Amino acid sequence: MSPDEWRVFGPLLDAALETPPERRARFIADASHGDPAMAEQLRQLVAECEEGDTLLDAGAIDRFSFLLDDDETVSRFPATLAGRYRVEREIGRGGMAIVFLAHDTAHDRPVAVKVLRPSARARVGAARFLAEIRTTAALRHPHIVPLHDSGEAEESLYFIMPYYEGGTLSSRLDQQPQLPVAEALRIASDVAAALEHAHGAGLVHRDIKPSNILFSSGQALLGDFGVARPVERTAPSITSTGVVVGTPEYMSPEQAAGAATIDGRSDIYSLGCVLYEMVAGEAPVGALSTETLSQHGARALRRLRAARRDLPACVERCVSRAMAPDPANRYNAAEMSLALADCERAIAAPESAARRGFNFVWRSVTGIMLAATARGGGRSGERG
Amino acid sequence: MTPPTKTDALAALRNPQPASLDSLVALTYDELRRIARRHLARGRRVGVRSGTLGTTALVNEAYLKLVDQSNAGPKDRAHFLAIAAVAMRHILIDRARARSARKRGGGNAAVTLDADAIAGADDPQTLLDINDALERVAVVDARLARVVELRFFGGLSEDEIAEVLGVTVRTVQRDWARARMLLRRELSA
Repeated sequence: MSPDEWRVFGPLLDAALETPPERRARFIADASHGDPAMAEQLRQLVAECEEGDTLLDAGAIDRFSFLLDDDETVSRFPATLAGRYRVEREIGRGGMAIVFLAHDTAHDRPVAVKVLRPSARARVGAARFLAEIRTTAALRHPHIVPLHDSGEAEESLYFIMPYYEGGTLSSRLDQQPQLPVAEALRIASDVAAALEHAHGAGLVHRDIKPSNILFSSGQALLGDFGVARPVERTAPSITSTGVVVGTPEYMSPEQAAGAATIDGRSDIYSLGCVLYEMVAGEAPVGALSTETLSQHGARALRRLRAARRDLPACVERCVSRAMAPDPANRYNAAEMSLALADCERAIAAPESAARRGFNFVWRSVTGIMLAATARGGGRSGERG
Repeated sequence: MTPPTKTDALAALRNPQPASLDSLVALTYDELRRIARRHLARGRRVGVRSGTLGTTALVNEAYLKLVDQSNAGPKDRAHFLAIAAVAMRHILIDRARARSARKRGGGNAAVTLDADAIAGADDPQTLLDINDALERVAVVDARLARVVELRFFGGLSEDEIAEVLGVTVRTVQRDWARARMLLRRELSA
């Protein structure tokens, strides 16, 4: 409504509302001086004023107090942690944690401080969380982000990791959604090597996604080991309302279904999704509620082919095996490492006529495997 | 500038000047944030979801803290609540904007274990949309927008709004109905 219209209708509407309902029709007829359009508009406005409306029923603070909660993590977090980490600025933020850049004064080096959000922290006892972190801190591998330190400050749990200027795969994909195939394979290969080591030690990552893959001197490193697990294990109230730790786009079907036990093959599925995203330029779309997992898998591969027509068959094979709906049909980490390495070599080698013939054969084989995968997925769906 | 005392605050409420009101809004802004943080931290310790923070309790606590109570009456309280409504609107909109900017900046914000998801809370964008619509309503009818600000952001009762605006309670009720109608039209426009 324009200010000019309101100068006419505002006071009339106010007077109409003040008039008892039984006399309103008469009032409107008088006030509009026989102008039917005006009478109609006035009637409409009165009706809209009397309409029930829940939009503003709850006060702003009652509905949006979480905005104030958010404020707290940033403003109350101490400027210096454990007497040696000087917090400089916020560099990233996810659903579970906020990351700050800090300076480690003891060793004169930049570090990243990851602070667990109060909402996540409220559901995890500090002792339990730190104990889990210690277990996973024992992991040492060139492609796993090491954990320097951890602790608690101002009701927030934090841990200290090296700061890598190379940024994350997530920011890399923001700049260049489709990576060259060789680069995508190398990144996936680095992560598969990290998983091979972790799975060998009996640890599952549970939240593999581009923002957890970091770059340092051209190498990819997997971060955030052991973070999702304690949160998930201590969060029965969360999972019961359908909230699962992990990131929907990269979550394996069994993890999304809230399976009680999840093994390393769930991570392989997530890595498959990341590889898909690096070559396709977009994350695989989640399953529609109307389709079975096997239908979803087939649709995902069709989209992948459409997004990247020059995609070598071996890459497609790696994605389809890693993302097989049934965990039994997926690679383990060692197998995926090997497959990725083979594929890297095949792409580096000059394309020959024989090679093209080989690719043709492999495409058929992929088709057969996909069909097998689809049958496996059907069984898995029935169980779920 | 030295921070105003409790007596200054009361004087500013009774004899409002733009400069003193601005400093009172700023003071209230900080105080409300402090109180809210404390309430939320306490809520977390006893396992209460953050959505249970009550506007009235929050604003009342700020009033007791900031304004000299030995001389203050119900009118002063109503005028303080009006100041608090403005401060609270600033606080919430600042935070919602900061969030929404981050969401646009970061590609991977879709994580399920989030305070929002857990509390079943609203999208901050909803609040920004309401605020923008309210600004458009203010152009059409400033008093109606003020009624919404007082009630929605400040949690004032109809009696308190009537006191602040110097109108009858019945007028406040009609204003509220008309304001809600205009706001709904702006939101769906």
